Amino acid sequence: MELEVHTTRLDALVSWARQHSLDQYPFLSACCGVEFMATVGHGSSRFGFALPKASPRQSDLLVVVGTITERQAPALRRVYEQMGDPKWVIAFGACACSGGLYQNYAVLPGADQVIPVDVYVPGCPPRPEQFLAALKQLRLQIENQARGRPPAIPSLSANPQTLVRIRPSKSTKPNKAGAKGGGK
Amino acid sequence: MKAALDWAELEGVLRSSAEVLEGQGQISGLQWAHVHRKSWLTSSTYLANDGWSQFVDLSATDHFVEGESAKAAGRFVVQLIVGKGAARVALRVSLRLAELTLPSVAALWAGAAWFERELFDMYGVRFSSHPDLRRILLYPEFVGHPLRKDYEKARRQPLLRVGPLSQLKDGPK
Amino acid sequence: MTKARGANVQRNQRLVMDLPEAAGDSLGLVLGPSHPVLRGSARIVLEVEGEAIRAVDVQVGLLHRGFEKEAESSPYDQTLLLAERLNYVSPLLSAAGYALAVERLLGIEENIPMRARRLRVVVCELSRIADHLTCVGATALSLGASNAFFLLMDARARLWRLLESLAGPRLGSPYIRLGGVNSDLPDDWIAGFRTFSPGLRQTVWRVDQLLGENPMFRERTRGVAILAKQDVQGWGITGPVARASGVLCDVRKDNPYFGYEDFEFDVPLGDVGDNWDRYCLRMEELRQSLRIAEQAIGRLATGPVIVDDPRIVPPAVELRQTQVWAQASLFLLATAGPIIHPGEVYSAVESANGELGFYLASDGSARPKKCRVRSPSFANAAALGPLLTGHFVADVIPTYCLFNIVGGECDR
Repeated sequence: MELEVHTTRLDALVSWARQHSLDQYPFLSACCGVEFMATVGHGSSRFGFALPKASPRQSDLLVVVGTITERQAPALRRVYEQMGDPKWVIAFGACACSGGLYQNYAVLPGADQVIPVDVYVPGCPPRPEQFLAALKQLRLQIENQARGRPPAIPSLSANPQTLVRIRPSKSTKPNKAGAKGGGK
Repeated sequence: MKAALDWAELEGVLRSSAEVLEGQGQISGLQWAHVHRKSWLTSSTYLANDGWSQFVDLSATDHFVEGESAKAAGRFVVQLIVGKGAARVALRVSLRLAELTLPSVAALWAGAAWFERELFDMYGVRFSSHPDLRRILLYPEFVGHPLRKDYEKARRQPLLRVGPLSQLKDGPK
Repeated sequence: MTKARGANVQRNQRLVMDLPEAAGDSLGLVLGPSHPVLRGSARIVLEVEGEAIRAVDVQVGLLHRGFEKEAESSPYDQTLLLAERLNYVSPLLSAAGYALAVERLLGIEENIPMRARRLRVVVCELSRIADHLTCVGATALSLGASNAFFLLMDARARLWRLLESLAGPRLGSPYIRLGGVNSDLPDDWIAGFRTFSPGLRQTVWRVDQLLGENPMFRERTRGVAILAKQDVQGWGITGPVARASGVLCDVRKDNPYFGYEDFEFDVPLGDVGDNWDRYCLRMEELRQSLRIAEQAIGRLATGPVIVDDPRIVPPAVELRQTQVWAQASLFLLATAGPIIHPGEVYSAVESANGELGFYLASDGSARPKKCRVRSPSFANAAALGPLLTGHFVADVIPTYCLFNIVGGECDR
């Protein structure tokens, strides 16, 4: 009998496992939620992305979907804190990236004001397929983190148009308690 | 035939409490009657008793223009829309910044309670004898009344912090 | 010295602060906003004794995005984008309601070409169908009937494929324009619709068997959250929730628009006003909406699909290339936006949740003085609290689903 042995590095193995078993917690908020739910029809389960967990404590991917208002911000932050490490965040939709159409008193100019975001998916709303592209980008980031590379190297195969990084949102008056220090 | 407001009767009701109808008119979609602040409750009661039982809307407009006095009379116009069948009627009242109060009509139309809360939230109009006057669309710590014209659209509030951001864990360990 | 805002203690107090005082055996329970069904747009604070609810505080406004403030500083045609995102489950219907209000303000409602009106009817009814499918689907899921949920979501996905072929984007569709619709139907659209329509009827029939004939579903919805007929109007409730309680009100019949008076359709009415009636009514309204859409498709007039009014529609390309006024009006539309003479209007359409009203006041400039949305979800949600008192915790979510409180529309 032959024994098949594969050798690899531990962190590569761990990052492979993490990439392909992301348990998501969708923080659905607004219109993008409708588009996000439509991703089910596009076969997201082939990426190990099947089960949305209803509890943040059991998930490692927080998908912020839709407009985050200033009123919801503490709830979002609390959900993020309840998740265990390692955790990643995808901001889905223009409102989650930067406030989108709504640059006013009520809307947070981007989820990255309160939580660090790993992948931004612009669009109003983005097509469901863009979410799959975001997953692909996130998996690349997880891989790069494991290999000590900088997190966001745009993949040559992914269309750079769909995942352009949005410039940091500018507030008219800076928050007194400090700038958005931890956000990337 | 769509129901219509009986102007004569409304004027009669107001006259009996020494009040007047300040204005009336017709726009696409509704007839409107403009009354004085003191007549708000009398006219609303009249409408409710006259069969205008369908509560439709309660909103306000801020007529403040840059350069004019913020304390001018008639700056805020509150509009109550009620319906009878297919018809809609609006009752309007002008308020000044110094006198931004009205009696609540929540006892006449139960649905008015939330709309009055929204007016309090957005404009700062206080309703006396309201069962539960607190902010509805914005959070309790919000400062200011955003739909007023002198409230800057993108003014930021001090966001409630939940611990210094430097403590954020940035990705996996 | 910066005051330390929101230190951990303060944060906890804010989130916990409005729990009701526990008295006796009662417990404070908070549902949402992060909740698979409430979806971040409502927070329901309950005081429960065992499973029975003693007091409810329905807190809406978590999705308040400042529509009215944005509208006061946006051109009328850009506000159309915001209006679409009000009821994001049936966005074309909200957009059509807003477009109608602007057209009534301009006084050109009669000039909208007949083909455009018929197309708007088709698109509004299909949006209403999408909304009802989502509403019943969410209710089914919350009650554990996931098979029915998937059937309905599949029907909705097929419907959206039809709607997206009209203009491209799904939600941010520019299909409804001020003055008409964006473009004519694609060539194979009507054929696609005729394939879709019997499929939808089949789905509705199957779901009715799965849910309507299901004794568990009946037990969970019959007699729950009864809204009495005499209370409906005082609360300002309109739409399916009002009709389920037996109150006949439908803007399509009372104040017809887009040519609805030309079509034959019934307005179903419930009698008790419980969750069961609300479910049955939405299923029946699905059938009626399909009936209207089929009639409208069969009676599409020929002609342009948008009005020829340079105040809101850029003139044709050929004109722009030869006439200076045409190029100037395009320039004005693109930079300032439509400029509307002073006036006011209150215009209502029948959205999937009830009377969606727009009160527009213009002062002669390119920005409205006031753009008020009379939101049916907001008025309906006001009654939810008193209605749920005395019921069980398990009834909260199905009732919330059947009331169809859409966050974008409720909170604006």
